[in-house]
Amino acid sequence: MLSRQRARNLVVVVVLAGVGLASGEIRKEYHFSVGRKVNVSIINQYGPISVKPGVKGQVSVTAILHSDKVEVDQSQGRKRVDITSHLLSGADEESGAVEYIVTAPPDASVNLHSRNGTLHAEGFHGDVTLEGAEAIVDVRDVSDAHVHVRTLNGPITMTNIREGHVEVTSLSGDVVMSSVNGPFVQVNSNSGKIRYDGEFGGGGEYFLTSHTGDIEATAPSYASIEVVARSEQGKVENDFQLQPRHTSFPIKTGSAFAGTVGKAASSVKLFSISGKIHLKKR
Amino acid sequence: MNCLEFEELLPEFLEGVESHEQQTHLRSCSACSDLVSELNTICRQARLLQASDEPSPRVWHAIRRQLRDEGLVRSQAEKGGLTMLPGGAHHRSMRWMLPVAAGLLVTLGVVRYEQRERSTPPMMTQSSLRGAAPLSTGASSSSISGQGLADESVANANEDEQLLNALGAEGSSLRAAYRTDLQDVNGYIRDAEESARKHPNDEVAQQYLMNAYEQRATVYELALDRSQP
Repeated sequence: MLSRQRARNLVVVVVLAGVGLASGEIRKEYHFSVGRKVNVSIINQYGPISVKPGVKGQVSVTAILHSDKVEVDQSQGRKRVDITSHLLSGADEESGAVEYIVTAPPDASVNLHSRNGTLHAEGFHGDVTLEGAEAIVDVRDVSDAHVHVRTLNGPITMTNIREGHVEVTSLSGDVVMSSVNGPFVQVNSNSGKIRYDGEFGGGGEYFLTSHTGDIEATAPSYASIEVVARSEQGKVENDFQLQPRHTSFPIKTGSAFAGTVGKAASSVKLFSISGKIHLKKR
Repeated sequence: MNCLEFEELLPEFLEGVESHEQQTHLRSCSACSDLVSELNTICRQARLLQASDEPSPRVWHAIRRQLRDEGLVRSQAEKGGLTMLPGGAHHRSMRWMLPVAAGLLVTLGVVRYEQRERSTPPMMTQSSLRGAAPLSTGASSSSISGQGLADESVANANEDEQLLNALGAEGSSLRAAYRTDLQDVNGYIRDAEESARKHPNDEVAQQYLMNAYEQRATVYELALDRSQP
C-alpha cells in the first residue's frame, strides 16, 4: 500500500509503439512528479542524452530505443529519479543505443553517463555531472552549482557557467571553456588542448593543467588576476604586462612567468609538462 | 503507535519530519530510541568519511544490480511498481545502511590506494623499468631504479592487463582504445615522477603526479562502468 509520501511521487508510464520512428525503434515516455531539488540520473551505454529545464514539479523522459535488445529500467525514490539502459543479450553499439530527451525542474541535480553520444545539459542551478569515455560533452548556462565532467577522448564544451565549482578531467579530448567563472575551476587534461576565454572572474581559483596538451587562456585587459604559468618542456608566452611576484620555483624566461594584473582578485595557474602555454589579452 | 508503525516512518523521521505520535513513542520505547540514536551516529560519521562527494550514480547502479542478481530486489517489469526490498519495515530501515556501506567502501579504496603510494620511494622513477611494463611508451629522461618502484610498475602493468582482459568481450577496437589511454596516462605518471624527482619539494610536480593518477583512476572507472546484459 502506498504511503502518503509515495502517493505524491506518482509515476505514470506511457509506452507508445514506434510507428513514426525508424524500423525497429521503440519510443517510451515516462513522467515523474517530483519535489524540490530532485536528483535525476540517466545511465546509458550508447547514445545521446539531452537534459533541459522543464516545468516545476515534473521530470519527463522520452527514450528512443534503437532495438528490442535494450530495455529501460526506471525507478523513483524520495528525491531521486533513476533511468538506466539495460543491455540485453546480443546488444551492440548500434542495437543497444538509446536516445534520451529529458526535461527536469531547473533546481534539479543532473547525472548523465553514456559511453558515446552527446551529453547535453543546460539551464540548471543544481549540480551537473557528465561522464563518458567517448562522450561529447556540452554544458551551458549553469549557475550556482557544481559541474563535474569526466571523459577520456570526447571533446568538452562549457559555456556560461557561473558561481560554482567546475572540475574537468579529460585525456585526449579538447576542453573549450567560454565565460566560465566561479570560485573554483579546475581542468586536468592529458594530451587534449585547453582553451579558456573568459574573465577569470569572481575572485576564484583557476587551475588548468595538462601533460602534453597546449593551454591557451584569453582574458580581457581589465582582468584582475594573479597568474603563474610554467611548462617543463614547452614554450610559454604572455601578452600581459605583469607586476612581478615571488614564486617557489625559479622563473626561466620562455618556460615560466608569474605576476599580477590589476588587483589580483583571482588566482590563475597554468601548468603543463610539455604543452605550450599562451596567456592572451582580448 | 507501535514499533512496527514507527519503523515504517523512520526514513522521514530521520530527515526531520517528526509527528507528535512518533515523538511520544520514542519517549516511551527504549528499543526505537536506541535505533534512532545509532542511525543518527552512523549518518554523522558517514558525512565525515565522505566530506565532499557522495557516491556517484554508478555506485547505486552497481549496488542495485548486485541486489537484483541476489534476488533481493525485483525489477520494475517483475514488480509492476516501485522497486522495493522484500519484507516489511525491517528491510526498509536497513536501506539506510546502503549509502553508509558505499561510503565506507570508497574510503577503504582511497586508503588502500594512498598506502600503496606511500610505500613507493619518492626519489625514484620507473623509467628504467620500462621493459617490465608492457604498456610503457618510452620516456626519454634518465632514471634511478628501485625495488619499490619496480614493484609498483609491475603491479600497475598487471592491473592494466587485467583490465584489458576484462574488456576482451567488448571487441578489439575498444580494447585498443583503452590500451592507448592507459599508455597515455602511464606516460604522464612517468613524466610526473621524473618531475617530482628533479624538484622534490615542488608543489607543482606533486600536483602533476596527483593529476596523473586521477586520470588513471578515471580510465579504470569508465572502462569498468558498463551495463551487463
